[in-house]
Amino acid sequence: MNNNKPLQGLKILDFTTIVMGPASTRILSDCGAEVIKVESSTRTDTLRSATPYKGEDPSPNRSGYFALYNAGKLSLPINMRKPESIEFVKEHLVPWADVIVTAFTPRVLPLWGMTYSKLSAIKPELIMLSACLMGNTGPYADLRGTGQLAAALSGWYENTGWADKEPVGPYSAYADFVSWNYFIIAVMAALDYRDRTGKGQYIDQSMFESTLQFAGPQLMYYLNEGKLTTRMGNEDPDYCPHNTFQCKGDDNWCSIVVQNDKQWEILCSLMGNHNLFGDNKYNTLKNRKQNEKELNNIINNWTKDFDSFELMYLLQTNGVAAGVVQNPADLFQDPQLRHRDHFVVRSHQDMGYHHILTPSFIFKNSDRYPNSAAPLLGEHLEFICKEILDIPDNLFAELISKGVLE
Amino acid sequence: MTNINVGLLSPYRVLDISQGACGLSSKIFADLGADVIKIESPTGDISRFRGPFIDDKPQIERSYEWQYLNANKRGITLDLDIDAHKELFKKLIVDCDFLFDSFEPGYLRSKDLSYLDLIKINPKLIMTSITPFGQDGPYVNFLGPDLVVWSLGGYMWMCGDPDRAPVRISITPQSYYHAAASAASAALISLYKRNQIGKGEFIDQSVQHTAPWFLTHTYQWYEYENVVLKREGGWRQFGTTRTRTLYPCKDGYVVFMSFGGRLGESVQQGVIGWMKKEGEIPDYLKDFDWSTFDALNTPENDREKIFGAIGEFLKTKTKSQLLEAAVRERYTMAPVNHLGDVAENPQLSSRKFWHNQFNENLGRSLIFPGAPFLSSEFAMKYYRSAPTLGEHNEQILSNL
Repeated sequence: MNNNKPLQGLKILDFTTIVMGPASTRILSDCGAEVIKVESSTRTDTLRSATPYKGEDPSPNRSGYFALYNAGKLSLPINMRKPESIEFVKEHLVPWADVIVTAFTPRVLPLWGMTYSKLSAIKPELIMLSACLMGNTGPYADLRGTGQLAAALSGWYENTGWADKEPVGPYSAYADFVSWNYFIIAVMAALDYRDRTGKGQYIDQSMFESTLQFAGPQLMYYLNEGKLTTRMGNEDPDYCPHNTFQCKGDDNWCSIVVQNDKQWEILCSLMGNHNLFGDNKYNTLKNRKQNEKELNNIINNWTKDFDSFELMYLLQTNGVAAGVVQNPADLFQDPQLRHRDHFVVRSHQDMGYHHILTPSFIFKNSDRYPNSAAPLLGEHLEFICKEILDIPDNLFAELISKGVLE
Repeated sequence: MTNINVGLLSPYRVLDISQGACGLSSKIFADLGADVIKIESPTGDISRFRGPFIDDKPQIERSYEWQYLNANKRGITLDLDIDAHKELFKKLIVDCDFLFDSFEPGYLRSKDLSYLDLIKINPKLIMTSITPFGQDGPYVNFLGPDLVVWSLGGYMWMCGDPDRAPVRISITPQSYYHAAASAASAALISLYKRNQIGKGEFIDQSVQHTAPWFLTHTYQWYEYENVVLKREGGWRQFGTTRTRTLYPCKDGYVVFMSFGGRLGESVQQGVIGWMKKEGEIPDYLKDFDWSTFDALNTPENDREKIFGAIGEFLKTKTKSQLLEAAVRERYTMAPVNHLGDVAENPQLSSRKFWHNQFNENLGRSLIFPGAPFLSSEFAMKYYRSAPTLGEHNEQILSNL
């Protein structure tokens, strides 16, 4: 165990599945928290059955998708369908945990008798975060779904794509990746509050409401002016040229952003096109915006014979913002991300060595690397019961035989 | 002056000298009750110049981005090129807990205001610097506006139509919001450590580095199987197969995903049940066994036959009919809302998500989005309008 992690000593009991919760507790684990992931062989995290698998056959222990968001955690199998299991959680795990996090639809926890009022009766300083798609109260509280649906509901689909085509939406469960920040922030702020006041708290996180935080100005524009924004490809009202241009080869692209007239002059000069710089159609941002389509075609004619990386270096070393649209293979080679150790290699009993992303921030005085690969399903059953929870051997055997810990 | 707001973070003071969307970090602190002082250059933060604007008038006190990101903060102006202002800045550092900045790497060092300089004044300082690529490394001097960092971060590769350029999200700058929110979480994680050991921290937050996290299983598909996944428009790729997610409906589009299995079963059965009620179901769907249906391993043509029929049905329904039905029948489907649909969503009004705040400078009220989460100990509120340029210079600087 590394002693130089900021969250040393913090204990988190994690009932979340799929992406938002697990990605959040993954960061907390990287930062030193002890995270017990509760799952069951009778109901595994859906992500364990997400492709690709490392190795020949599909196995819940070899999903690369799961490996990314669950590295460093301890896995404890509990069959939550049994009343004895709920008693076990209340008696042994709630007293252990500083924080309990869940991501069930709102009807599950009351059904189990595991609401915050019940659990805080056992441990008043307990912090419990309960995340779901729409929040735990309100007429749509029972709507089920993932961050893909939340992305549609909260405006991200409508606002991603080309103006002349149907929306494409942002890739994957975008709302998860907005909301997870607020998940971590809620937990950390609640811990600080607890340490100052002795009070625990219940946090009701709606993925819908968290996700809207990243659309504040545009939402306010509608709320206060009644005016809507929509998708506009890669254009931007404040900059021009501002687009993603074709380069040599199949599906290679480089984005270029000109932020001011000086950079426009540099770009024209690099294009060897001084007439363009002198042309009144393009001499100001306003004029470039008015003739943007034509201008994009002129630039694309210039970029299409370039290697995308050569073009980026040419522009950046001359003071014009440019970036290759990197694909997943490129991300392994990116010298800047490598400089930050964006990938670390961890070994895993069934998967062997594989790459795992590191947090996007670096501490000067602390470590934030994942301790280990993701756990096998139920891997830490004995370790948790015997070393962490001090369960006597006879009780442990009884819990196994009753199917509580399975 | 004592902090008039009471919240989860009310004992703390935050200095925010960052620019534009990076101001989201300290907004998070301000909304949780911290005393946040926004420090602008005398010409004003870049958010002030970005639209959309109140009444569509492009003036420095009328930007929605500025109003949204800086409500609940106080505001002062300092010019770090002026020695006297540098001294004022250092005096503010003495009593602050957090500092957020987004200067280009090396700038603060050139002003003798780097982390190592500042901890001599305040060893408990938690300082977070947000930059496009990080504090050092081969791209340290690259320019990194939103479009560029999201290209290099790889997220854009997966967004867009297969026959066109990759595309970014038009609500901008998303990549900077991600970095700012991540920076806020890293700062709070460092507070936990400070509470134990009494020392501060420096956090190097890269914007580019946030993006690979949103690529889910794409890098693993390359690492394990040598497959490079690609953008697929309204479809989504799952390795060697793909599934449609976007369907037209009567007044727009609706999103649902069919995987089959436990997750898919409820969607299909819900919709099929509805189709049956309205008598619009082809024979081959009547007794279809959804529990064994494996969407990802069924040939695309067969799937299109199945989902084509569902798609025809969806075309006869409106977005709000489909959402009501999804709630009622408990299946996973969502309309492609524009922000107006969001504003009128009954769930949000029922949870009192919207806040109305009178802005004295503008002489009018503004409606704001509410909190990202609800706490049993604290209710977030808007109690102070975003500062006008230099509004609190006298109040704060004359008392130093």
